[in-house]
Amino acid sequence: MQVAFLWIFLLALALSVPVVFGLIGATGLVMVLDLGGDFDARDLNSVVSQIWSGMSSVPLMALPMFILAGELMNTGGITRRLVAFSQTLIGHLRGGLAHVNILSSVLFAGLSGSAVADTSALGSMLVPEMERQGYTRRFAAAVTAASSVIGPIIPPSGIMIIYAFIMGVSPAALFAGGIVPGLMIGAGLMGVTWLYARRYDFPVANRRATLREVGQAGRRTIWALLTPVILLGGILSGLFTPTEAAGIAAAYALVVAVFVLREIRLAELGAVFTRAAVASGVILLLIGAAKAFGWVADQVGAAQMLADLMLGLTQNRLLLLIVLNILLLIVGMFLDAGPAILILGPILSEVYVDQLGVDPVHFAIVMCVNVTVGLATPPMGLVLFAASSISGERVETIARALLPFLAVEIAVIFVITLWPAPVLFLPRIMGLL
Amino acid sequence: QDDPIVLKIATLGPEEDEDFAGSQVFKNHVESASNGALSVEIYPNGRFCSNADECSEALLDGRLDIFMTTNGGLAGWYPPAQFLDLPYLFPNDRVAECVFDGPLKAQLRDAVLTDVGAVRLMAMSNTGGWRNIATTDKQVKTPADVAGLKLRTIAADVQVQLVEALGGSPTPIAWPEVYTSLGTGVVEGTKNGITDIVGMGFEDHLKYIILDGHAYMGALWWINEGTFQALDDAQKRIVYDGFQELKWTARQLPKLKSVEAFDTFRAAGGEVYSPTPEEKAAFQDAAQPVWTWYEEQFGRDWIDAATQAVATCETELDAEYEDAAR
Amino acid sequence: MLGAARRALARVNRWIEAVLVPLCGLTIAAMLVVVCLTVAARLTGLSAPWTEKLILVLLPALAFLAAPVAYRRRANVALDMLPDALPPRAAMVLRLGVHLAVALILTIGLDLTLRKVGIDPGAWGRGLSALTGIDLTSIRPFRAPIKIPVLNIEWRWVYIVMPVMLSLTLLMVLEQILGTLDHLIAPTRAAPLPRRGGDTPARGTPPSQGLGE
Ligand code: NA
Ligand code: NA
Repeated sequence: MQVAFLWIFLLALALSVPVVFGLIGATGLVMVLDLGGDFDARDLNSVVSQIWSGMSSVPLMALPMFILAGELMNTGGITRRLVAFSQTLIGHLRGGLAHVNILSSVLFAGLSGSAVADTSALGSMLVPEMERQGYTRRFAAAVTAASSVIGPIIPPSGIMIIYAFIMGVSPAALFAGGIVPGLMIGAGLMGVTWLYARRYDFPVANRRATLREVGQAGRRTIWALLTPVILLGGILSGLFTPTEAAGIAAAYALVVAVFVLREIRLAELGAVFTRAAVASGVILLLIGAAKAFGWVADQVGAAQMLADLMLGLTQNRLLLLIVLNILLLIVGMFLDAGPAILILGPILSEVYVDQLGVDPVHFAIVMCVNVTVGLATPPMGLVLFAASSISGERVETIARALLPFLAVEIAVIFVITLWPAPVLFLPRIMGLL
Repeated sequence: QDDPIVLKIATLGPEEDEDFAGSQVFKNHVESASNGALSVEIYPNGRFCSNADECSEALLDGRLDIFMTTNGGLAGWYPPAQFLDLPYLFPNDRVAECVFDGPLKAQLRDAVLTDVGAVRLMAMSNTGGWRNIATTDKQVKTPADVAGLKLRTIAADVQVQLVEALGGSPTPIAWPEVYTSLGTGVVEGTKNGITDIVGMGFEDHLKYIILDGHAYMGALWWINEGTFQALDDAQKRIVYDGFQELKWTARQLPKLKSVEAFDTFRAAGGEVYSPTPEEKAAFQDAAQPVWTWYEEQFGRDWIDAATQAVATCETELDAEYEDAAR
Repeated sequence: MLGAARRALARVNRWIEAVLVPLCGLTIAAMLVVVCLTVAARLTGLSAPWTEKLILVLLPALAFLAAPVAYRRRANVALDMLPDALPPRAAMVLRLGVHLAVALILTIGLDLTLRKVGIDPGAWGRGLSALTGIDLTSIRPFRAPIKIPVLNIEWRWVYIVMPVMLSLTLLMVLEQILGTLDHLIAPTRAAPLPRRGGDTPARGTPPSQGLGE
């Protein structure tokens, strides 16, 4: 009975209720029908508050700004030039553009702390381009979703900041600890793409580009190539915060597209803004609804029940670490990364760090990577939803195409869980541990 | 036996915070003194409501029974309360604690009951110690050193006005982004208590603190008026006493925790500077425009009441000392 | 009769959409301006502490402004496996059920958000309580003056966007309900229903030139 909210939500999803209303409806029904938890009608008011405050957060602003930047770069011909340049570099590989998608996510991860922002920005640039080159849309969306979970694993990272805040761990150590696992996932995804490319005969450019062609494409795309330089440079030199960088990216894309490349006429600008606005609004409301849903999960003590269940299973450290991953993956399927950490972090870190003696930074990274990968798993994956909204492809179709990539990500999770060295190596040599 | 009356407390900080510790003392007192007729549920970590405005709203409409606001949080729904944050109002912990137990508390309680209604002030404690100016690159010793500094400031009028009065540039940065912003130089300093600084790992970047103590981080504990009036007289008394127990825990814990926090800060290479009386006086002078601003906004009533209370408490404490040292 | 009601409502909704879409665009444009202002103010040593608070308002406002548009364009994410597997008529009945469920959620949400801005929905609220068995009247209309610091605006003025947009979303749902009913009654004659994902950003203006320009 305590987890009735979960069954109601799953039922609503299966009946094709839009996710946002499934979340809100399940949350409300639990209170109205008194299905677990100590609720009365007044708590419905808290649901409204949770939805609102779930959206009312400054770091979240990176989301609409990156969507806008992606939309401007896409309509303004910036993406096309960037893709053309990447083509001259690695387009002669089979599946070149899929590789470009993954590489961009790794580079983009250094700019953005949000996986959903990565999906939105890179997805709205790269999915149409990949489709134009003959990839299926579901594969393009799947590569985008799978690779954008690298965003919060390679610093900066919104969820690591939350974790550090709640659990009193040094955020710098967490940031350093995320770099190697993030690169491992990037490499793993490229491996899968390589195998796919050979098997399914992915598109290639006709021939290896000459150095002169690379140079020409580079000159044409210099405005696009400058974007990460400006953003990274701006962040590192203290001109703006990573959140503000999203807005700077949009402003830069606007100036380049309208005044430099002159590919968007002023009259068209309105359409660009409204497209970005409606797409942002849909995802924002979903985040608010997920917050309310997570609130109910927490109030009925769902997380605590899971923790009790786990310690009841076994006391063996290795087994428990494996159980941890399975638990977190399941939780990640239903909860957004932030709430998952807020709710489960304190409980699980008591079990693993205090009782089993796992290194706090190691545990933090395992947890962060787990809940981040959970963003790309159905049924409740915000990255998946963003990819669906960006590509127009269905969630379940993307989810199916995502499976091989997900397998790699889960493999990386198990590697870093059982073998702490890749996580702890960088924080140690940087003197953060 | 009937079902117990449930009192819900929400705190925004983690379980390690003094707010949570104090709430536990409250829970223990209330539950045992009422023989289980009252039951207290504590929701830490922003689990019930996730920011000060949201929690205040829940408190005011009765979904939440008990909540602690900071001075700034209260200012959201009772703006004159900003006098509590006026720079250098309180000279030290003892005076602040004395004022918070004196007639000023009753005055504030009545004012809020009249103007806002719905909530009753039960106790005043501390959350996070004192606000000091902490910087990344240079030691601040005088107000002149603040000129041109980009200081991370919460978006509250008094805090913003103070940084402007000192000639610095008040820069609101969302709390989760402060760490990175200090590292990259988006801001060159903060105005936080030492426990918050160390709790967030800011000592990686902040290297200098001046103990100017411009604000005592007051914590105001409220109970929903409907909840309170629904209790019988004996229960009301138990709850009130519980808040007084809570208050002492919440006041002492920040002092204890800041000892360790200063050690951590120094171990990370940080320097802590205590201003001379002259330097402190210079800061007080430089902060005068904030007092003027407050007076223009809300008049002199609360300023007079507060300075009067501080003066009375100083006299009391002096007398107590004279007596002890005789 | 049904068809006529549906067409009339569609006309109204088209007009609402035509108003809301530019408002959404203006909101995101305002965000962009606010971010740039924040950075510019900091770099020039000016202080603009209000920008942070404005962002906190603009984000949820955008989500609610976009909600009616999103519902009309069926841009909300959903899993369509079941309706795809069902025979068309059964799928239509399922869609009708989903629209009705959403309408109920929105109606209760409208009551709640009206109370949040300090309005007591009165007889209508009591009717809704009797209908659903939820004691909505136990929720006091919210009247305490909580202000957004620095901006000096009371939150409830900002919250007004919620009941207004929920009402408009209800109109969009009603249009879908009428459309579905129309199809159930006269499948051959009824105008086609909107398709899912009517407006996705990736389906933007196709570029005029090829890759090798
Ligand atoms: Na990142
Ligand atoms: Na998920």
